[in-house]
Parts: sequence; C-alpha cells; structure tokens
Amino acid sequence: MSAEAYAIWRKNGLVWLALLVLLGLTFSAAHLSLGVFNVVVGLVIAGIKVALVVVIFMGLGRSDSLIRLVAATGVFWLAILFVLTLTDVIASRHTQNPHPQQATHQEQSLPRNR
Amino acid sequence: MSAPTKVLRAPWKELARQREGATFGIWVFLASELLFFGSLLLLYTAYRVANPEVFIAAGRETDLWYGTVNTAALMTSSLTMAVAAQAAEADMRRLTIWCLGATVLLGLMFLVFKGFEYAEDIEKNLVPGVNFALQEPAAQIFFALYWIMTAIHAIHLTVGLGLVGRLAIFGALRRIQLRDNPEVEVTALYWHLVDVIWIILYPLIYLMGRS
Repeated sequence: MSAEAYAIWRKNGLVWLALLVLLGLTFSAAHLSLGVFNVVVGLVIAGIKVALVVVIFMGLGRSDSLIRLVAATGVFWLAILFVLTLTDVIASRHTQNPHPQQATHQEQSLPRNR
Repeated sequence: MSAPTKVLRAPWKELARQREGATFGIWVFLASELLFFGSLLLLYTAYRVANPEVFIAAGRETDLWYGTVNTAALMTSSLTMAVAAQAAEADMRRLTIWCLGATVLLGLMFLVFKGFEYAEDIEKNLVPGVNFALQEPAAQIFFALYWIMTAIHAIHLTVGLGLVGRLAIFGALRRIQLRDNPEVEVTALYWHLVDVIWIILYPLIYLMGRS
C-alpha cells in the first residue's frame, strides 16, 4: 500500500472506528433503565455520529463557506418546522384542550385533531 | 486547473467551476432531502409526544439485531465510499473501483437484511390493518411510520446502489474517468446522506423499550 493510500485509510478508518464505538455505546445505553434519558442519550449519540459523517466523510469541515451555508440553511428550515409545530403540539397537551371532546377511548390522534 | 479533460461538460469552461457547481447543487438537494425526511421525523415526534408509552412498547417489537447489524453495515459502506472518493481525487484508480464495489456489496447486504426483517415483521403481523398484532391503536401509527420511513430509506439506498454501481462498472471498463470527476463526489455525498438518515432512524425505531 502506498503512503498516500495508507493516509486515506488511516484518516477515514479512525472515523469508522469511532462510529462503531458510538454504535456499541448507544446499543448498551439503550439497555439501561434511564427513563426519559434513554431517548436523550440515543439522540445525542446519533447526533455525534451524524456530525462525524457530515464533517469528515462528507468533507463539510474543509468545504468553502457557500457549501456550509447551504447545509446550515437545511438545518435552519428543519428547526423552524420542528419548533413551530411542536410548540403547538406540546402546548396543547399541557394547557387545557382548546377543542374539548369526550376522551373515552385511548388517546391515539394528536390532541388538536381529536 | 483549467486543463481540458473528458469530464468537462457544457456550460462549464473549466473543471474547477464545474466541480463547485456540482457540489453546490447536490448540497441544495441534500438540504431538501433533510426537510423531506425531517417532516416524517416530525410526524413521528408529534405522535410520540401524544403516545409516549405505546410508542416505546411498539418499538420493542422491532428486531434490534437486524437494525444494529444494518447500522454497522451502512457506516462501513460510508467508510468505503469516503475512501473511494478520496482515492479518486488522488488518482488511485484501482483503490477507487475496489471501494466502490465494496460500497455496493455493503448496500446490498443492508437490503438483504432489511428484506429478512420485513419478512419477520409480516410474519409477526406487524403490518397496520385488521390483523395487527398489538392492542393499542397508537401502535399502528408507530408501525405505519416504521414501514413508511424504512421503505423510503430503502428506495433512496437502491437509487444510491445504482449510482455507485454505475461508477464502479463504467470506471472499471474505462468508460468514464474517475479522477477529478464531479460525479464521484456527488454520488459519495448522496450515499453519505442515506447513511446519515439511517443513523437518525436507528435510535428512534430500534432502541426503544430495551431496558
């Protein structure tokens, strides 16, 4: 193997090892009783894995600012989508239901649509 | 930089510009893909907020082992894809083709495991409908989202297999030049996004209710 090929395998292989270690961690953590923190830990580890893939495998870390701006825009619009929708969904669960109806059956639809 | 090559296409006058345009274009597409999968994840989140216990109980019915092995397979395919893209830059043609081939094999492995998993799910009556296995109505919502999200992901992966396989075969036949070809980078970025989506789906589908 040439020195150049070795350098490529070494750099990307280390990221891959980190990804596998994180997969092992999230798999093990899911078997602990952490209550609501089970999903928090799962999502935080998924976030670290995504960051590794995006920054190193996809090369966002060495991209120019235009590309970073496009990536940030995608995340920004996603954040708007989530924040505005979940504000409504969570708020209507914690305040009184603005559309009260009989709650005889088990909850399955979103509170606003019941 | 401005040396004419076989990969240069109209309207570009120089390869560096063409590469910038291709990379910019695929990132815009990937940002829109993020919103596409994001809307499904939002639906999942909203229904999970409304039915926390049922979603955890339903998540327990998924097959953790298939999910975990497939996560490892996709992450490994991202490694071979990243090596292929960087080897193409460095003009290491053999390494590029071998790594593209390995990426295709790992992607196929993912689909085969997913097929076995789907067969098991169907056998366990985990398809929403009249004969659905679980009592709670909201469990059907979880499994509807499970089928939609994993099936759309599998379609994306199949498209990626076509793109990567095309590069591997045409590259090996010398029908296309792999060095400096923007198609290699664009394909690699698409493949990594498919991996990123799966990494996010994994804890939400497979890791619930295991404690």
